[in-house]
Order: sequence, then structure tokens, then C-alpha cells
Amino acid sequence: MCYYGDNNVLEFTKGLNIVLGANGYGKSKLYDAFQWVFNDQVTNSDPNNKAGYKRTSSLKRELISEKALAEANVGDAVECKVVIEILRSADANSESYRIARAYTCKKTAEDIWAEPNESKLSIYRKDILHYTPISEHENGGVLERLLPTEVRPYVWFQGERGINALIDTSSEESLKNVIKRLSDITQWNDYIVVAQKAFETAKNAFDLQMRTAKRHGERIAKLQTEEAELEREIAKYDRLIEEYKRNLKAAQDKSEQFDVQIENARNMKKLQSEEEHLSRQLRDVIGNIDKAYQNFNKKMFSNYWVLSGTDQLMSNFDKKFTAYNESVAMRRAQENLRRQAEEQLQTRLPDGVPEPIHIQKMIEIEHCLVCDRPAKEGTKEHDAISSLLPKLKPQEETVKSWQYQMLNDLYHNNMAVRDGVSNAQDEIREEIKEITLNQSRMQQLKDELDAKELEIQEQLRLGGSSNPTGIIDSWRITTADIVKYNADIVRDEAIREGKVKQLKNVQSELGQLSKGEIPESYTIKRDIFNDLHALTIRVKDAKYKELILILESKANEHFQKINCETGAFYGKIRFIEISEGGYRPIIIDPGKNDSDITGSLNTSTVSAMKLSIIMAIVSANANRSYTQFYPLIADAPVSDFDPVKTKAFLLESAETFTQSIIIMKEGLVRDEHRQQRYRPEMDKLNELNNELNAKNVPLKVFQIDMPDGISNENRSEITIDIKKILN
Amino acid sequence: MTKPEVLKAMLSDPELMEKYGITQEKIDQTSMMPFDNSNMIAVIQSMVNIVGSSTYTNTTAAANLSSFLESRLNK
Repeated sequence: MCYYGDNNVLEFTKGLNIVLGANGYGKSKLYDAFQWVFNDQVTNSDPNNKAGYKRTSSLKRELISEKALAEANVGDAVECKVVIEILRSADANSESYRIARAYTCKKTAEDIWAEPNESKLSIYRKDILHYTPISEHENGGVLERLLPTEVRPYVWFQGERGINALIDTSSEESLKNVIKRLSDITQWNDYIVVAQKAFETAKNAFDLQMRTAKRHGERIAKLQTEEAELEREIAKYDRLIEEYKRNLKAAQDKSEQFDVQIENARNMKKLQSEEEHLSRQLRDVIGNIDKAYQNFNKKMFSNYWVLSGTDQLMSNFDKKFTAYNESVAMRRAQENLRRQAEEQLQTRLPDGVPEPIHIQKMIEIEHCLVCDRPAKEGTKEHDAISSLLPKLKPQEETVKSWQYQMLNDLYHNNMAVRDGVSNAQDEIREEIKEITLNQSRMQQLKDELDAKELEIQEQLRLGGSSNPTGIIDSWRITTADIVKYNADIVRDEAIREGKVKQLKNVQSELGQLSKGEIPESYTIKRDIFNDLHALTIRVKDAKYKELILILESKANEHFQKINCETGAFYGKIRFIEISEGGYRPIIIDPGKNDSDITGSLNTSTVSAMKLSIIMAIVSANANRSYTQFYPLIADAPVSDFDPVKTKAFLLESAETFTQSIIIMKEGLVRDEHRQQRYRPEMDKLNELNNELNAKNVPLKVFQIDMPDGISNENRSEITIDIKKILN
Repeated sequence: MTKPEVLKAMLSDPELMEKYGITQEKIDQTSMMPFDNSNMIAVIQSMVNIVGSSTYTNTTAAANLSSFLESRLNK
């Protein structure tokens, strides 16, 4: 666990110290080093470990560097040692110390180690020049003086878990504990008890004396009985009211859980509705894609897409067919001319024989115009007329008519599909584009659905499966309980108030009756101590409220400085009274009603609130000078913060505490010149340094780095380099 | 809180000031010693002193306080 080697030294300055370390580079080990020296324990991040830490007796060999363990031979002793030197400045009225804690184990055989249960703590006090050891029995006292147990958690904390352990916004106990631990409030309890005992003694003496009264004995006895009865009644109502308040608190806590459950159920419903919406969209898109594919296939033929790319062929065919037709027409025309010429040139029919045109006519009408007699086809008259016509050469059939018909049909079909074919490529392109878009949309929806499913799983994990009807029924019952308990409290407080008034009257009358009956001193003593007792209770209450207000004010000072540069809404911290002495921190919108809790805050605002309260706990104790004497050591306090907020927090820590040591990963970026390593963002650090210089606050920055060339696959090879980056 | 601060806090209680006619001037003038003429203020001074010393248990402190007032009243 500890760093390998014996030269891992960090010399911190007064002011702000930043230790940068990327994840897995061992920066939290530095925090653990402080914890181990002072508390003999280190952080245990196992969520099942409620304590949150492990002691030396559980860790043993785990404390030691794995590389050192791997290198040890049989018979070697290997040690983990941390030394903290606390140097007091010359003007401080305290001493300098060197505190060392060591744990040693010995390798007795291969894979066998002798591991003691305890570590060794040694403390040295600095005389003028040298450190001399102190005796062991002084150790506890020195550690307590250097960093009191009550203060330690509020100046040394780690990460979100540590912060949440200190300030639990759902519980009133956090602030109660803070006030109790870090103020003098408990001293008032002594005043209250002393005043109460003095009053009881004085009252008993008064009552005893009054029983000896002669003149109004009967009345006095009756009043004393009434007084005792009223006191019993008042005590009874005190108990009842206390119980109602406890029940009310339990019901309110339960109600808040319902708020959480209702919120969870609402979130779940929203997520499920979003999932359904996405599923519907996905189904539609899949449907569109299927339809598009079907249409695509259809359009291959209906829109002549199969002919896509054949425009040129069609054009060529059209040209050729047209040319062919023209050529045929020309040939026909030439043929006609030739026949006409032939007809002209053919042997003229003998005189008296009609012209061929007339013969043709006679054949057609089947009537001889010469003889004016019928010449039906098939008759010899018809044959005689036909024989008069010169036989013409039959025309050559260039293209067989069925072929021509086919080509002609093709030509006309071309005409019909021409436009479709020429548009086909564009249409196909569009269609494919549409399909691709839909496919891409489909994938996107699938990814969104997967993400939504994960969200739902997470919501289930956080909120459990919810039975809305059950929640609402229970919520109704709890709400009714809250109303009932509130009503009970109001009613019984009124009754109690009445009885207190009655008691005062009785006591006043007894006081009147005592005049002349018993020595006045008894009455005076009783009255003075009664007033004294009530006074101590009131003053304690007032002081407590005053401390809460001071804490709230201080917390808001820190909160404002951490958040103001971000430009985002951050509100104000308010401590609301939940029960007697119990306060809870909330954030309000100063522009609205004071008791309106601002909901849906982001985690960084909540973290900033908690950190501000932790800082205020220490800084508000001006009398005790906590910030002067005790350094702030925080590991990963700014994980939720952006760079602006991180810087604001660092500046605020530097101004609040005489010394701060902040261990964090923010401020590191990948080093382009090295493989798998990081470098600090020097421009940001220099900017911070300049601002702190202007306030005369020193800054030191370290980086926990790893030497180049070390493989990060095997923990037993890992070593670290502690580099001084700034100042 | 220091003893003078505790004393001042108690004397500044509004209810006490009203009942016993304690003015702000009176509060500013009153210190731990000498004991005030007013029995109430004197008892408060005595209690702060006794409890603030942490020398006694609460029971003994109460008894001492009681004796203190007793002796004043019997003068």
C-alpha cells in the first residue's frame, strides 16, 4: 500500500499545497498516510464496510509496498514507515514534533511472513536544536493536542463519502453533533442542572416550611396538592409532547422517503413512457424500411428501374430505327419512282386497249367498261382483263413484317418508358438515401433504447420496483399521521401552557400566603432559583440558535465565494429547524419564500454546500482558532466541480486555513510527449499562483508521477516519483 | 465561553432584564466581582464562578449556590 522507496518526501508550506495525482497513481495513499499516523487506520472504500476504514491489525502486510514485498528475500524485514514533522512558527505558543509510525514484517519463508498486529508509534519533541523522544504514555495527549479528535473529521476528510459522512442533509444529527463537538454549548447543561438542583432544594424547603403554617394551613395544603398535581400533569404532557414529536419526526422521515419513492416512481414512469415512445418510433422506422424495400423491388419494374442505365442503348436504338425507317421510306419512294418510270417505259398496250389504270379499275369493279359487261373474279372475262396488265416485279421484303412489327413496338415502348428510365438513377439514388437515413435512424433509436434500458435498470437499482398504489396508500396514511401528530402537539402544548399558567398562579398564591407564615428567605430562594433554572434553559437555547446562525452565515460566505464565479444559480444555505435542537441544511432561492427548498439541485451545488458547511464549522470557531492551528487535508474534495469552481474552492481554502493540503486529480492532462503519463496544466497553476501571491498566500504544487517505462500491469513493479511542480 | 461572557449572556436575557429591571448599563458595569446588590444578579455571578471553575460536581455546586444565597438572605 505505501510508496516504494525511502525518499518519498513532501515538504508542505504554510498556505496552499496541492498534490496532483491521476487515478491509480497513489494520491489517496498520501491521505491515508496522515490517517495512519494519527489514527492507526486507513480508508476502506468497500461499500460493505460501514466504518469506512481498516486498522493496522486488519491490514498488516497490506500496508507495505508490493514492490518491496516482492523484492524481499527470506530472512529480510520489510517496513512501512510514515513520518510527519509538525513545525510551529516561532510566534506560535506551542512546540514542534516529529511523529513516526512504522510497521515491520519479516519474510520467514517463501510466501510466509511474520506479521505483527500492531504498528509502532514514536513521537519526538523538538528542543532548541534536536528532536528527543517523548515517553509512550504522552503519545495520546500529544496527538490530541496537535489535532483534537473532535476537530479531526472536519479538517481531514476524503472524497464524497467522507463529506457525506460529515454532513448528511437528510438527518438533523449532523449539525447537532457539530454544535455539540465544536462549541461550548454542552457547558450550559451544567448550568441548567445546577440551577435545577438548587431550585428543587429550595422548593422542598419552602414546601416543608409551608406545612407548618398556622393561619392558612388548609388552603396551603390544598394549593400544595394542586401544585404537585400540576407538576405531574406538566411532566406528563412534556413526555406526551416529546413522544408526539418523535412520532412526527418518524412520520416526516417516512414521508420524505415517500417523496423519494414517488419521485422514483415518477422517474420510472417517465423512463418507461420514453422507452415506449422510442419503441414506437423504432417500430415505425422498421416498418418504413420494410415498406421501402418492398417498394424498391416493385419500382424496379413499375418505374422501369431495371432499365436504369440503358438510356444510351435506347437512344441508339431510337436513332437506328428512325434511320432505318427513313431509309425504308426513301427506298420506297425510290421504288415508287422506279415503278412509275417502269410503268412509263413498259410496252404500251395495243391501240384500243385501255390504259393500265382503267384496266386496274375494271378489275377492281369487276366490270368491263369496254363491253359494259360484268367480269366477276374467277370468270374468264375477269382473267382476260387481268391478262392485259403488265406483270410488275414483286417488291423485295427488306424486313420481314413480323420483325418490323416487333421493332416498331419496341420503338414505341421506348418512347413510353424513356422518361422513366432517364429518371431511374436519380430515383434509385433518392430511394437508397431514404432507406439509409431510415437505417441510420433505426440504429440511433436502438442505441437510445439500449441507453434507456440502462437508465431504467439504474432507476430500479436506486429506487427498487415500485408499487404505485401501495406507495400512495402508505403516503396517505403517513400524511394523515403527520396531520394528527401536529394537531396532538398543538393541542397538548396548549393544555400544557394552561397548566403552566395555573401552576404559576398556584405558586404565586402560595407565595402570597407564605408572607408572615414562614421566613421570607424561603420564598425568595424558591423564586430566585426557579427564575435561574428557566434562565439557563432560555440562554442555552438562545446560544444554540446563535451558533446555528453564525454557522449558517459563515457557510454562506464560503458558499458564495466558491460559486459566484460560475454564473449558475446556487442559492443560499439555510438551516431549518426540524425538531428541538435539530437542524437540517437546505438550499433556498433568496428571491422566493424563505422556507421553499430549491429542488433538483445538481450534485456540484450540493457538494459545494457540504464543503462550505464543513469549512464553516472550523472557521466559525474564531475563539478556538481552529483554522490557525489545524491544517485542512482533503482528498478529492472537488470531483463534482468544474475548473472554475475548483479554483474558487482552492482560493477559499487558502484564505480560510493557515495551511491546506488538497490532494486531487483535477489539473492534470495527458502528456503528449510521454506514453500513458500525465502533466500538470501549468497555465492554470500559474494563474492560481499569481492570485495567491497577490494575497500573500504561498502555493506549492506537487505531482505524484510514475517513472517512464514502468508497466502498469503488475502492481509489484510500480513505483512513484514525487515531483515538485511549483515553488 | 469565558466566565464574563457567560455572565453577560445570562444578564442580557430579555425576560430577566424585564423582571429584575436590569439595564444595559448595568450589564456593562457588572463583572465577576464584586457581587452585586441584587440577589438575582449575585446568584448568577456566583453560579458562573462555581460552575465555571469545574471544581465541583453539579450536586455540590448546587449546594454551594444555595448556601451562598442563604447567607445573603440571612444577613
